Amino acid sequence: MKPFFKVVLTTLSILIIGVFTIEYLYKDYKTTIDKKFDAYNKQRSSQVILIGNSHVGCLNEPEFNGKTSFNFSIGGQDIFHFYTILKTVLEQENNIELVIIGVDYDLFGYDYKIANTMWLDRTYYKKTKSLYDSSYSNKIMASSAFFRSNRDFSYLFRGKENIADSQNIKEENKMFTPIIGSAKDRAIEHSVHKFDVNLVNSNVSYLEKIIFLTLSKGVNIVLINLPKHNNYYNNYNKEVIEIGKKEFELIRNKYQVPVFDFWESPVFNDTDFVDGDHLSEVGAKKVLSIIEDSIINTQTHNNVYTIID
Amino acid sequence: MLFNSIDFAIFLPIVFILYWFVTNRNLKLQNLLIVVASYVFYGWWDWRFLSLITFSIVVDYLMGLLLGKEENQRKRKILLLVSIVVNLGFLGFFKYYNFFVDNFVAAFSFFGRDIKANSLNIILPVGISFYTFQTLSYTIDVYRRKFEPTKDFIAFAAFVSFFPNLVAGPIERATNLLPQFYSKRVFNWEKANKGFLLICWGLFMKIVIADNLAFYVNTVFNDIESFKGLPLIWATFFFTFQIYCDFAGYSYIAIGTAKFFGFDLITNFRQPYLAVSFSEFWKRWHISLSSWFKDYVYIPLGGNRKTTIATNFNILITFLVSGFWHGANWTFIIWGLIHGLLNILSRNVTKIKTFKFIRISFVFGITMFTWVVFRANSINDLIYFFTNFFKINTSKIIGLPTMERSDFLMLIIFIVVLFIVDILISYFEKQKVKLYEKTFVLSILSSILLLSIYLFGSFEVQEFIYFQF
Repeated sequence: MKPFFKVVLTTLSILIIGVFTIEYLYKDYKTTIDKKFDAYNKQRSSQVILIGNSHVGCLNEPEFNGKTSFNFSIGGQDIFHFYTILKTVLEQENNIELVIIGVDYDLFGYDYKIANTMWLDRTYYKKTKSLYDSSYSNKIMASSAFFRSNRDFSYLFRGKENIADSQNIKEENKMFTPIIGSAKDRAIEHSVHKFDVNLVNSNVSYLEKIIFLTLSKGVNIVLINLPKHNNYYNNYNKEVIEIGKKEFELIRNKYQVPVFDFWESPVFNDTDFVDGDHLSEVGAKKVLSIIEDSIINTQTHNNVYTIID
Repeated sequence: MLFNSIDFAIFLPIVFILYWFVTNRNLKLQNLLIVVASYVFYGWWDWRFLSLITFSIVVDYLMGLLLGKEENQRKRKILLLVSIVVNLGFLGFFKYYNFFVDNFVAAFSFFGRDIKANSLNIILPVGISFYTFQTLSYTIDVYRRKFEPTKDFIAFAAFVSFFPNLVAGPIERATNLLPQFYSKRVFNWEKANKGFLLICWGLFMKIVIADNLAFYVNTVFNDIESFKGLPLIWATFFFTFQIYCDFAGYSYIAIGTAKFFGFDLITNFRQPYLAVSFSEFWKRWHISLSSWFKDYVYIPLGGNRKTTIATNFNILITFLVSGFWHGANWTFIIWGLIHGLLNILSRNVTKIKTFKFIRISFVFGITMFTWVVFRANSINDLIYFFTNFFKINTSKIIGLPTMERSDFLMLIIFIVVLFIVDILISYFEKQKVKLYEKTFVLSILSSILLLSIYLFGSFEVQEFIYFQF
């Protein structure tokens, strides 16, 4: 048996040394969510939290309605992640008064498996301690710095630059980089390829959990669906629009939560977009000002926001 | 339990230690351990499946004993028929019931007579097609007096349920595997080393190549009408390698695992994409199934002993049945039919003398397009594919929004690596080079494979494709 054990032990030793070396090299790796939390922890005392996917990333003004704000939006993030982040943040922070969540229609049926974002999910684990798939093999991967980096080999050549980035709050708040692509392709990608109608119930349940969570902490919540370019929504799956509108209506009626649906808003033009589904700085300011104008802080004891029609 | 899971990585060393260090003095105890381990392995999916395999073991064990004792040919035929009916009955019910019901309803409806028959919500027990064929081969061989029936129930149970090849083959013959359960096992380090290398290579094929390709392939084939042109062709090209790496990877792990316990399973794949003809392809692809159909379907039908027309007919029937074995869907039947026709052509058309590379490329190219038939979810998808794959938009090389160019390049590199390794294996076999005898080389090779899995593998655990069959 000796030669066999020799082979197995040598192989496993090389493997273990290799794995530990790689883990060591990646130990300081900061994922996007790590950087977000670093920036958030430095800023502290945020009163308004904005959260969504890359579409919401542009709403990154340091103040909203006269209150300090922080934007937790990350590309590819879904409702489950909004929930886990907000849960983590609300457990740490008492000053939050308002949460603004960007929910696109297609997020109601977002299929993370098709979207191949299992790796993205693992990047959250260190901060949120939650995973879509909580099997121990997935937890092991989520605890590995190398896997959390999504095997970002280019990091080995970037090194320290990555760490320095995370210390720059201003830059972190402007981390959003729009994805330039054809509006038609992206509309199909979002509303056809990555959409599974069977997932609507579970995604809605996460949204409901967010509503319960915020309300139980006395925090107000606003849902927004940001405007999209004509080229984008003309190619968007009509069934997904119907589902989205229906779910927004149900939530609005059931929980009296304000919903700003900009889907068919006529006030946005070409200069308001950088591509089919991402707002430009001008467009973002326009959206924020509409929301700010529409919300009246009643300044009552329970601090309720209402919409002006 | 999946070979590519942490559960199996824990399970295998435990069974190995118990086998060689605790039960090694008693053969019966070793066999019993294999049965228990196999039941744990199989029950890991769903413990209810264990009742089916137990029933199959008991029936075929008894039928074997009765066939051995019985001299009356008529009674022997009845006993064989009982075994075939029980085994194929289970298989037919779990695998084909809904297919037949749906098609009967559709056929009656086509002729204007609506009948009511409800499909059942049946879960297909994993590996039922594989162990059913394995047990069937036992009773048929005993019936043909090729093999003495075993009286050792534990050895027979171990033969049927042997966990390395239980759920996706290689489909073993009693003549090869069962006698191995009778003889005392002595640990052979060369065999174990070879097994270790096969396991590492099998895992690499599955986790690094097949599972990475699966993402692209599934995205296209599960929503085929959203794609045209190049994405369809790339998905077909990738599926050609996905299915090879998925299934051959499983077979290598199975053969390697069996070697850890001192068993030799039959070779199931021999570099199939290096075949120079379609008949040769089937001598290299899923060899255990091809030889099963040859021995138990093709030859009983008459094989090539009669006229050319009869031989061609027998080939066609064998491939049709083989296609249907893969699944209860018309796509598999058509796939079998196409391969039957290709084999007939391959036998009857005079071979054109040309470079080996051109012949390999030709066989590979045609085989690739037959995989579309195999992979398509329905006949409609199949029609869609063949009416849209040539609508190429040259501005998009990859044509799939969810795939990065770097990932795409990585997949191509893996496929090139696979081809190189296949050519090297073929060369080493000819030169009789035994890598597994050189422990240092073996350790380095295994380490490279395992580290590659860590660095590039897809760890969203995916079941093996052949489990569904």
